[in-house]
Amino acid sequence: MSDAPHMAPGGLVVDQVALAIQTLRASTPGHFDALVRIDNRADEAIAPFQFDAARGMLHRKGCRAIPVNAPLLGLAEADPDYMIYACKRCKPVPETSPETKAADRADVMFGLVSLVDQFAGVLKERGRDYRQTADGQHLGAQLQDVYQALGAREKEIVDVVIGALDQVAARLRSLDGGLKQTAAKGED
Amino acid sequence: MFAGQTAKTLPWMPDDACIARVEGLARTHRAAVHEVLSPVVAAWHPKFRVESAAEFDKMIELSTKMTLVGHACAEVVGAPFGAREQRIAALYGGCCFLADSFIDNFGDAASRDYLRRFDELFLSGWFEVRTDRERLFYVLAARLFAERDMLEPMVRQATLKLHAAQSLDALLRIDPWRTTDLTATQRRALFKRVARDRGGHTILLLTVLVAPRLAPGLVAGLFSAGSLFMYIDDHGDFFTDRRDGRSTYMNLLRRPEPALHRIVTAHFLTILAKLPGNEGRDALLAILARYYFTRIDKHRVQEQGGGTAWDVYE
Ligand SMILES: [Zn+2]
Repeated sequence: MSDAPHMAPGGLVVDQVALAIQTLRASTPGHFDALVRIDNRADEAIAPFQFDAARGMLHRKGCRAIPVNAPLLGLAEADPDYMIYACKRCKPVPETSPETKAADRADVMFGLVSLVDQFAGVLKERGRDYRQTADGQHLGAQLQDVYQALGAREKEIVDVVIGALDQVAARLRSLDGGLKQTAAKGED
Repeated sequence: MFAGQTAKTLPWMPDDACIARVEGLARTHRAAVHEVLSPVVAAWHPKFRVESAAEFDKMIELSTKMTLVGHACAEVVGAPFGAREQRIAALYGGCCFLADSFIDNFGDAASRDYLRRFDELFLSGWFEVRTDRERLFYVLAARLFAERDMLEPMVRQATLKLHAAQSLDALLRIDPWRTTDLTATQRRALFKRVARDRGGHTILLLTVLVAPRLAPGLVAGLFSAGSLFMYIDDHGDFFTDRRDGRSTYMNLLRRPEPALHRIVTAHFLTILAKLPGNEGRDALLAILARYYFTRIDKHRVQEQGGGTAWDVYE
């Protein structure tokens, strides 16, 4: 897919889908706690390392050598790159998480939402034949993977979102000619 | 030498080739920012360009500055800066401009409400669009989300840190009681830290948005550069901030100009020590030097009751 250099892929279609997604909350009350959670303060609170962004120094969490009000970034793991910036007092040692933490369920939602715009675009621009193409099959496989990784409650949320795609597609069909032109520009 | 440059000298000054390069980049990026933002404004909030033309121009200028700084940061980090990164920086600039306007321009009650709604946006992804301006903001943010994985840990953390710093800045303005028990020295220290963190986290977020990875050794130098932008900015807005009842570290000082010169000198030395000598660092320092000199002039113009020359790179 090629785009005009300053036009994001999908252009106005992405805008419409993003706006349509926000209307889902009102139309399906109680179904969504979080659509996507950027806020990771909970993860940061349990991170074992803190990096002082102003001084460029790595500490163990709570080290007394950390200046008061230092701008700290929490790190779940510290790779060896960080060791030359290690605090001499608390002497953090390189450590990576024993295993990758199970994906945050809200993270999975983001993956899904980012697919929604492609998916809606697919419906509109290429029709169901798209599924037969290599790209379509690749996208289908990605969707399958995302879906398989979900728990029962998340699957329920996904089903609501996919059900709502019909609404989204209906909105897309009602767009004006300007959108059609832009969408056409975004194709191949 | 920059036009209007005062006699002050800095620990590092750009040569003519560096100045010419930055000015060329500013022109290119301004045109690109127009191409990114204007169609979105035309599609979702066309009145903004017509009825708030001065504000629209300010948004373009802020976005141009973001893109220029983002380009320099990408070069510092050793990452490419192509059309996609240009789009990301321009969208980020647009989002920052509009988010600031929500918090600063519609009264204290609105500020509080927006802070709460931004909390909700970052916690849940929900943002109920109520006005054309909000729709424009949300669409720019959605496009930014479509360009960059916002759930990458550093991007998330930088976003939240910036939001926290901006919230504190706004709350200190809305709720003067928060600082009434502080001594003058404590107040200055608090506001100095607020400016440091707002600027520092703005540039860290910009960098992690345009570059795939930020090496730990570069964080402090970039953070320092971001903080310095904020101090310079606050000096330029010294009088308008006072008029609007907004305290900043700079406008709490009796003699801000020599203080700013000491700050600029100290930050330049930090940046020189912490960032490797390359085209990106030189561009960053050249942008800062230019910004410093133009903002000193802006402060003086405002002091004499003249107009407000907003354009920084024209
Ligand atoms: Zn330590």
